[in-house]
Amino acid sequence: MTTFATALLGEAGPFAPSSYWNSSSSQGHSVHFYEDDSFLIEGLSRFIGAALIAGDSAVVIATREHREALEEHFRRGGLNLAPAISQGRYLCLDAAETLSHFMVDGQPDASRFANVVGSVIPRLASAAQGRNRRVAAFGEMVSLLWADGHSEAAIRLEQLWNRLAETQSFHLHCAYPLNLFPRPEDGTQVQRICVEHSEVFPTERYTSLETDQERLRAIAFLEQKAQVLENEIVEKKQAEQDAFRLAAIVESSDNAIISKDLNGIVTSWNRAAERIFGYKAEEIVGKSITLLIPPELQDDEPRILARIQAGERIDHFQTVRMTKDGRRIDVSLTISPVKDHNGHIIGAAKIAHDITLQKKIEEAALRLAAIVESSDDAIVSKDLNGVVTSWNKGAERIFGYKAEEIVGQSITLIIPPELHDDEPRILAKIRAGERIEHFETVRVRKNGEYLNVSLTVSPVRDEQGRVVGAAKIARDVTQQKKNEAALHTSERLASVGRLAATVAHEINNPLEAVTNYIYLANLQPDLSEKVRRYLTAADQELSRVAHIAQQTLGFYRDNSLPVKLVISEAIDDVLRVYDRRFKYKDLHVQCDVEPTLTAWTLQGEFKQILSNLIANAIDASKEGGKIVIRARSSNEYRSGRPGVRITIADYGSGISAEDKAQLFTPFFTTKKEVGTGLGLWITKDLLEKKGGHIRLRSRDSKPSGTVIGVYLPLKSPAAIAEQAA
Amino acid sequence: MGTTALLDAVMVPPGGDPKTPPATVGVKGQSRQFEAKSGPKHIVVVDDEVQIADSLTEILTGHGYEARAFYNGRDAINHCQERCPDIVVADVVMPKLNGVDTVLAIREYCPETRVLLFSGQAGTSDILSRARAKGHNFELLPKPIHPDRLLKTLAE
Repeated sequence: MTTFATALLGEAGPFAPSSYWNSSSSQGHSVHFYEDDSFLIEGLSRFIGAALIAGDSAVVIATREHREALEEHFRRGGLNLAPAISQGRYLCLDAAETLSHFMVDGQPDASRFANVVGSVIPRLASAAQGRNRRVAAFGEMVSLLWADGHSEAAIRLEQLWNRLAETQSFHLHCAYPLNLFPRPEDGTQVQRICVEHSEVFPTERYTSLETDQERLRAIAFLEQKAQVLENEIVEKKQAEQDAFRLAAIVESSDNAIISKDLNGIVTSWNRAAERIFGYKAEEIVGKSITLLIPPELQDDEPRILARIQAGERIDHFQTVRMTKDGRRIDVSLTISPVKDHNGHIIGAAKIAHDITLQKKIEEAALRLAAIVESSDDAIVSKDLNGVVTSWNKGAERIFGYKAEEIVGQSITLIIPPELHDDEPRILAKIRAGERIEHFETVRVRKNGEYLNVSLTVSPVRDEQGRVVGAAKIARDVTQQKKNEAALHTSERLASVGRLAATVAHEINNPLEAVTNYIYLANLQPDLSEKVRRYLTAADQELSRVAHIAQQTLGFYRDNSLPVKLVISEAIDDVLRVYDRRFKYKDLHVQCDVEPTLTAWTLQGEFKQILSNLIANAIDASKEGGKIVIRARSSNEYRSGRPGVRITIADYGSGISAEDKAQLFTPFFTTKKEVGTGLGLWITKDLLEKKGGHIRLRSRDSKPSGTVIGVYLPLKSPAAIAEQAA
Repeated sequence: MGTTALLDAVMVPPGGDPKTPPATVGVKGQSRQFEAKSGPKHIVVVDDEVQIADSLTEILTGHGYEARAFYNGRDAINHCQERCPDIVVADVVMPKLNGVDTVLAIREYCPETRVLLFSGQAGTSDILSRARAKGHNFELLPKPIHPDRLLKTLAE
């Protein structure tokens, strides 16, 4: 106010309006930036007031507020406008209304401008009373245009004023509020505005300063501030970019990323959260996070919030959450506090990872591991070099190696040396992606025992499908093989037994009848000697048939009780039966039997055993050969039980290795037409029933021959039972 | 054994006078010639094989026994109810009523009768061991059995 008063009184000063106006040429286009309306009004009053006091003319084209404020200012300052108005030296116009007279299609029209504004200036000039008849003009139509966003129209209007100044004499003063240019890029516009003006007045912050030094200091200060601002802008841009990037990361994340405030209200919700939980962001933002928590776990949330409020972070918390459609999913949560710029906790950021599938895979893997561990079969894995990589309990039991003993070692440890070639072949197949199924082979246990195994080997692949090793399932089939063999044998025995019984019955009955008839025929008194001889021969042959039938098919069991048998006598009895055959073949029989040797046994069966063995020895022997029969008391080599050992040795053709294996099998015979293949089988059967056994040594290359050894306990289990009863 | 020995055995009828000339040996209807003080021993032969039952009966008759053939256990038992034989010779394996059950039934009426079983097959053992388990012991002869051996056994 003081400044204004002194200005009005014409006091001198650097920016005193009077001096400013007085020193100004009649021609000029100045611009004034202001922050505060009162500053605008104050400066304007000095400009206009000085012109009017000097007797010059003035025109004010302003907003209504500014016009009223200006008049009020003049009035309070004691300047009476009435004389100037009446003299036609002062004109006051509304900016918006004036503007409307020359604006066409949003642009100031040049000819209309010339008509409207161009007609005002000369009238004012002619009314002026000063020496130079000068006109002072104030316009803020440009700032109106600018405020409405028509910056180009504003610049254009400034240019029209400048063109008008070419033909008419006036000093135009413009004013722009600084808040029209809030953005950094508005600097260019400020520069364009300045270019259109001959004089520029900065805002009051600068112009209100009194001395040059003050103003220079202000400039330095402003420069520093500008620098800070520029830096801030760069940082802000950087921060914006970071924020965009982070937002993009959050949006593109596979994990649900959610923020919530300290009341558990969802404040942000990314796309993965939509996918995992089924809620759209717009459905859940603003709602409580407890929507996701199953009823029985609702207690979770207060606890989580309490920890967050205490500034704690919750890492990999595995729990269950619910989707919009009510499905339960396994999630792993990581929850961190969110702080404002003052470090106060204002909410929580939550990352939820759907681990339902992972859990299923884990559970499946655990189940599989349990199955593998509990399997009776050996389940083993190895790499492509045959190095064992896993070894289950079944493998420990079957092969005898503990996992820690063999993992890392070569699988060849369990392969018998003679089968080491197997392994490269198996590995080659596995590398080719082939599977080996039910490969029956032999493996060796830690203790050196061999066992029969059935192997199934499959390639193990990595995630890319490359074969990286092999999984091997080995089943111990040793017992199974034995069982199969036993079953096979017993089936054959059963069928043989049935067959033998049938055949025996069918043969023995007619034999009985024929024997009787021949006997009756032989009793006839009137037979010729020749017929009698025939009948006698027939009777003898029938006896042979009967004997053979009994030896092989008879199954006739002694009904009598075991008796104390003198071995030498029993052997003599049997040898007598074969007397004729010894003679035929010219065989020498050497008997070396302890005369006092006895055994408790069934006489018929014992004789059948001897008979079968001696018959075999006869058949094997060459003409003129020798058969050696020895019998002595002997203890059974395993149990030590006392018994009798009888050996029958011949020097015949011997038995080949292949035949030996089958010797005790029913129907196996080396005697072609004459053998039934039952003799040795029956012998073995009879002996085993008595608790004895039979052994055989034979060679079919020179010197060839066979030794059959028979062990018979002194008392058979049956005999012991009989005696006890 | 030679033929001579075989004939010798035939010539000696059990219970008869060994010095009696065997003029009518083996001829039917003449067995009474071998009458002893106690009369000829009565033998019941049971076999489902008609040929065996008949030929055995003929042989036994020829050797001074009063032998009679039956082709099933039932008929034999009926006969024994009327008249106890001295000896029963029975096949073990027969349809319907087996030999063991037959002789067990006969023994109920005729506890003094001697029993001889003969059999040609494995099934025998089972039937016999069942009988033995019940306390019945029988003499068992293999089939075929030579008449000489049968006669020798009967004479024991």
